Amino acid sequence: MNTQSKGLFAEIRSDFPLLQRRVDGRPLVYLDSAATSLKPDAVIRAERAYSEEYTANIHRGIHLLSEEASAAYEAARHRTARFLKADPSSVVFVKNATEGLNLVARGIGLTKSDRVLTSLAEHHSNLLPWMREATMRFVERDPLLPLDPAKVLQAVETHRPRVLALSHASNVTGIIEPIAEICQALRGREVLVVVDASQSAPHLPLDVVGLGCDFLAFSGHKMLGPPGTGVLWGRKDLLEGLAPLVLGGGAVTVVSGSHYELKPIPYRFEAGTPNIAGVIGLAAAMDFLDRVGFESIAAYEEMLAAKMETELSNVPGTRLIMSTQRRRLALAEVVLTSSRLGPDEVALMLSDTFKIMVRSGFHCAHPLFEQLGLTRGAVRASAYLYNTEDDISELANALRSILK
Amino acid sequence: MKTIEPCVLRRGVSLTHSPDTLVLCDEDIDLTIEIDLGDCGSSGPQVFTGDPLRLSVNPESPCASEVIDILKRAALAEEGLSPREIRRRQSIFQLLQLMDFVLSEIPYYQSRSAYASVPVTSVEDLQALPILTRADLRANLLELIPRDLRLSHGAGAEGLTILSTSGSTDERLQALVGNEVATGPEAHTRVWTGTEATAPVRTAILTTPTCSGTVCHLGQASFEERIVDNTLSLNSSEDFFSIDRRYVEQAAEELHRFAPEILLVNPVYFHWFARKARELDIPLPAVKWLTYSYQYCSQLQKSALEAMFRVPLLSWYACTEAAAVVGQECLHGRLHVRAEQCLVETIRNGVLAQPGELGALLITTTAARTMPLIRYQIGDVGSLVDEPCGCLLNGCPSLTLHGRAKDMLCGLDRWITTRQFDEAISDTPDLDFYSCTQTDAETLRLEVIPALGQEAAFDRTGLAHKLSCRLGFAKVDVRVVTRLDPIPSSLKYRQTCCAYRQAPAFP
Repeated sequence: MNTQSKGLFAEIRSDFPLLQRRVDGRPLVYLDSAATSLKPDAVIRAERAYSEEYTANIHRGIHLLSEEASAAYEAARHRTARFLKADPSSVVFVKNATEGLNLVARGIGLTKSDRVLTSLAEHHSNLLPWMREATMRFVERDPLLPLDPAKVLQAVETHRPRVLALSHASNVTGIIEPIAEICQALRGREVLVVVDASQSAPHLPLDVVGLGCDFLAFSGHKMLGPPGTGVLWGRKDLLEGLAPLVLGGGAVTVVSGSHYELKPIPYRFEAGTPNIAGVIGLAAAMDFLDRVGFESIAAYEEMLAAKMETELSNVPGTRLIMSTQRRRLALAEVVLTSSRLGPDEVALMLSDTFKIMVRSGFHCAHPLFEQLGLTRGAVRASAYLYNTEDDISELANALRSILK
Repeated sequence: MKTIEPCVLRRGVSLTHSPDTLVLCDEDIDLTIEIDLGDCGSSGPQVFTGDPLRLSVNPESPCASEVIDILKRAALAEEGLSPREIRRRQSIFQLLQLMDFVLSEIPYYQSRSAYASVPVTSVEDLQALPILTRADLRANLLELIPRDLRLSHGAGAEGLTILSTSGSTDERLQALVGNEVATGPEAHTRVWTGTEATAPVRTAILTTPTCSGTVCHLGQASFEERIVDNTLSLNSSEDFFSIDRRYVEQAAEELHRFAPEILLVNPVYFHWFARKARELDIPLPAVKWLTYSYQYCSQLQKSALEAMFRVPLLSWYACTEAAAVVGQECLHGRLHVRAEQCLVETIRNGVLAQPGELGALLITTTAARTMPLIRYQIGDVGSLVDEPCGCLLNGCPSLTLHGRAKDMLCGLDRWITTRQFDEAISDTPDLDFYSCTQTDAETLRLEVIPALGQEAAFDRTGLAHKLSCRLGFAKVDVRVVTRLDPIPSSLKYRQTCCAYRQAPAFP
């Protein structure tokens, strides 16, 4: 990474108002982006403009403001389609990835005789919706390495699942899964591939056709967008056959006392008034990310990941868990070796004494922590494009002070 | 061996003697002093049993001067002193020990010239030292503990605990507390009974579900799991004004089964619980004492609970981060400073307040050694007076707690404390609970819960008029409600709050 690129990312920091905040006179170090990212001015302004300039419901009124709001909302859909290299009609706005995954799990008509294949490294949001509907099977894997497409194929042939549900990137280890290679390996098999892209959408370019998956879901709040926004993309023929999770106004064309007719996709999946301001803000977030460029983001984050690996692996009293692959997220788990000091206590001290915001606990991935033998959880640091190498050094120094 | 005339220890002072240590205990004061005799060898002090105890010291022993000096300075070998004078001398003694300790062990105090450059030889000298704020504690947590204390080795062991609190000001805070100071119920019952507890005192707690991450917020843990060291934590609720018959029946049954001597309660929570039990005709067991901690308690809750249980509701004023009992209410109704654990100052406009004058409370934890605090601004306001009392804490100043500084209302010509507001409202008939918010310079919005059965008849107009006359607000809007909303972060209930202007740290 050259100095000019570093300078670009240093300038980006000024786009994030929260980084100007001082707590007890000190600036914040935000290393919890895998949970929720900070919001740039552009996103805040876009959301605010809806409330200040053209507040109205969409797709219903014919007055000026409603038309403006509808246009902005649909422009966001087109923007999202470009982000995914997909058709706008295959883009469904949901409140988050969890809702998107639930919509698929509920809507494809699974029964307990159906099997869903996944991995124990999944976030609860990509386990529980399937667990409720079907019978679970798991790909055997080393959770600290990316999945082996050949092993996935073997598991598919063994278990014959109706669905393969995988995350694109891990919120615990930062590992990026070879989804395209897995889909390639499964070509011709009768299995739906559903991808949880919550952790990849903020960091990697997404090309749903190139990936070869059938459904893909992600949340807006982890990729600079507003909370309460998310996207489910699906192959159009599959969306046509998907039963909506929620019914109501906006999802139907005809309603009588005894029957109704659904609107075409994607509107049938968006009953009720959606998070209009949020969706408009999400489109602004995508603009922001594309302006910076995912290639630059990936290179910059790899520099942060390398810094994490160097700095955090030298903190006495800890063990570091993070991906060692070349393609990875800048995300690390700091496991405390002392049985007398817990991750929550350390995270609280990092926050209140050092103003460093990190996550502690099990990160909604209990089965993975169990598999890793981490019964007390860990402290997670997750960086994004507004972080600096100094942030990582501050974290390492603070941990050394606490664990001296 | 040449010895000097034995020192006669004051009645009430006991000692334990080993070749390495001499432990002197002033039982009336609850003060224990441990003297390391490591350098004395065989020429250490000799103890003569008897009543009173006598102690002789070889003047040529290396520890002779230290032992004699301590006996003198801690008023352990002098009869005829008033309780106040004994406590004064011991406070100075403890303060000097604390200053020696923090300047040799605690990086925060060592690195700030203000502490090293001011010779502290009396309690009054404290005024020259800086005030420690919650922000200071947050920013310097690891600097405020002894440099050789290793959290990774010690947390959870040897009584060291890492606690989180929102405390008096609802500001986040972590604290490291040790077990060097006795803060358990046995330390309090002695003041109320006059005798040492012969067995652990059974205590049941009903308070906010956020008071501690490990004790009170145990959700659906079993009855047995919620009993730790003779203390039962009753399941609390995040929505206490919605508790139903099932909750009350279960808590009442657990109280009958556990049979506590002390009930340590959040007064608003417990008053609502007891009122609900009465409404549902569910009997509650008798207890010896009702206590509350950390806060000002409205006269409404105090009167109601004392009438229901026919025992006094007594304050046990503490703050988590200090790891000390700051004050304890005796049976004469005085909230005494626990002078053997801490010193309390009141300051007004930056200088010491006069006796009886309202000020911000500063505490110095003279007995603490894990995270000693010097002139820590606790966030509450109150006043101090010295007055004789017939209880064991005679000689300790009495504190009148007025509540949180941030909860004060902005009156025409003064800030009005929670206590002052409470005094203006608590003679209102048929009133059980209230919450008052000042919305602008002239307006109070008051939510009230009348006594059971009095909701329709409650005189809102009369109450509004009374408060307007007594406190000088032009408009008092009184609404009858069925529940109060707690502060989201702490789930405590604020009696007063000023929504349009921030109250000052000092009244």
